[in-house]
Amino acid sequence: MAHDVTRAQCQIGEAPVVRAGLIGLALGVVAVVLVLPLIVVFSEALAKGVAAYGRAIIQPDALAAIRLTLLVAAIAVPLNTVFGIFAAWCLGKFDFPGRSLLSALIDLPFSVSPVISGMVFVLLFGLQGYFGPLLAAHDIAIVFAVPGIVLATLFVTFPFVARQLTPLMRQQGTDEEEAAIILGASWWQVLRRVTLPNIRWGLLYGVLLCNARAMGEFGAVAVVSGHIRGVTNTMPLHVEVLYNEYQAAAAFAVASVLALLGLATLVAKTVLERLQAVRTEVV
Amino acid sequence: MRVELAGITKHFGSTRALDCVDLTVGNGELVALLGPSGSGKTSLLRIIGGLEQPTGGRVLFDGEDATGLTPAERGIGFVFQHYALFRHMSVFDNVAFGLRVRKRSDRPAGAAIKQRVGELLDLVQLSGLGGRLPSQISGGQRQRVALARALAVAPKLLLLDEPFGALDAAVRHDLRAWLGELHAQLGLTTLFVTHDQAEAFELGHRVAILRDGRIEQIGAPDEIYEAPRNPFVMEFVGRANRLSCTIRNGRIRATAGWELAGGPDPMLPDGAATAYVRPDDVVIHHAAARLGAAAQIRHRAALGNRVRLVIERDGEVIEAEISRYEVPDGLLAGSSARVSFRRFHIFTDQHLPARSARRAVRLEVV
Repeated sequence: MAHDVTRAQCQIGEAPVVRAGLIGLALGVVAVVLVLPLIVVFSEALAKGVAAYGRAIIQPDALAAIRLTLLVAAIAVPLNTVFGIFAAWCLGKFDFPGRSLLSALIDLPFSVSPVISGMVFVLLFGLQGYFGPLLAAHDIAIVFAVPGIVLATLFVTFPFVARQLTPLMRQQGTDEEEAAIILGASWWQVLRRVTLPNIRWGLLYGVLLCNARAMGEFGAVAVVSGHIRGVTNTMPLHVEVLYNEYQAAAAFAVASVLALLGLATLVAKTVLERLQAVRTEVV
Repeated sequence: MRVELAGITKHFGSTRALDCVDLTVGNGELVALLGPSGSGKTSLLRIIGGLEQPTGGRVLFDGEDATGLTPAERGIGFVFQHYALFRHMSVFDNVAFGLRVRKRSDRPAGAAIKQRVGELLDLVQLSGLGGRLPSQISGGQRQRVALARALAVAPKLLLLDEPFGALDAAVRHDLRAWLGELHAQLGLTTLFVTHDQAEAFELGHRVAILRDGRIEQIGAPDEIYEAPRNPFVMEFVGRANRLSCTIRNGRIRATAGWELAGGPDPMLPDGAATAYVRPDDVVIHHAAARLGAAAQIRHRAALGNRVRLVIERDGEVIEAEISRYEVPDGLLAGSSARVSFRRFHIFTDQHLPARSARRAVRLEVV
């Protein structure tokens, strides 16, 4: 009996050779496209030895770039988390005129090239831009300064949290919120005790994706930053500068730190997914 | 608490969900809102609960205008169709929610909350399940958690939206009986929405029949079954055979020659009419009897203690469902018999446009 079942399953599935071939192909692609570059980053970074690696990282410009990247992420991610939650709340829980327009607008940063996003801010806030003279009169620098980088990063990473949460909130509906309101909860209690706990896993995932992009953004930031060493260079920009100056080892050293930050994000995401899986099983 | 609805109207865009609904529910009364889907019954419940604002009309609680009050200010308990339990909270936390979100000054102490939730879980027969998540309990249990959660804030009015809609038949039956007992025990003014006639009739002290945003009839279950006000209620509540008739000089004549007893009634307007006969009001006599009208038995089906007969006379087919002791001996499919009706309801249908057919004159002949 058991023997028959096994044979039937074998007949339904692909032949072992085909299966092995497909798995091999997939692994091969992953190795060439994902793993190999990562190995290259770390091996190039350490090509001139651990000491050179250390020197490249503690160099003041490199440290400034790391600080700036972390600062920008620390500003952009929380803001986009809050924006994202409220945008998803509007889109997921309510129907109103212009809902689909708002939904499309939130996707805008995904659909236009980051370079264009950067250009927009230069056109708006640059010296020749619409608000340029006004800003110059009040001695406020946005373009070629940290505020511009934060703005560009905010723009580019805007959709991550909102996109992650909108379908989730839409699927969960508004019954639980209505039940909470009838039981006397204020809007803040509804948000904190009912809405947020229901979306916490999606929210964490969205925040991690947003963070990874905020730290890694190149195009938009490159346009607004102005590449002032030690002042407006984020890590990706600093890597480029070093590489163009033929300091490959130093460039890869900084790149490896950036890659490590990205990997840490990925690990965090995987751990969270495991936790969620365990939780769901318990449930 | 006494609930009065005065002229409640609700528009969603250009569609009119409720059309000038008046309804009074007495203190401690259990009223069912019964109607097909899209009849506006859930909208009405949500308006009473404050989840929707009416386009026009007023909601009064104990004679005071409550139309502008927030849901929380109304002091109501609401049980949602799909329960809307907080999925990430334990059963205990779900029931305690309404107490815990109160302002600090009104909030009971932790021990008091624990005791109150314990009592409620006892009441809904779920003590011992406080630590479970909603996903770890059965549908019937979730239903009772939702009820306990609604009762925790000591509401003066309980609103239930399709309380048994999502449950399977056996559980539904038990829960229905249990809810009736619970109502008798608590005496809480209760309104519930249902599309299930049996549910409405079994539980409701009074039943309001809704169609197209209007209350077609409201009354005790017996009253509605015995004296439907119009053809819609007649057909919506239980089954009914339709017999085409004409009225002339106050006399009713069935087109197919069925015997419709009763003397001439000058109140009956001349013209076409429809007589409605419930399947259990059909009386079958032996073919040799001197009663009723001759007819053919087309089909006979035994339904346990009852028998369903399909009867034809002159091309018009009716259905009878009667006790097997009321069927003459030897009656089979193909037999001849004589048929009369214990009672029928007649509604004129001439000169009435389709939309206002519901306002047909109800002329009952018993």
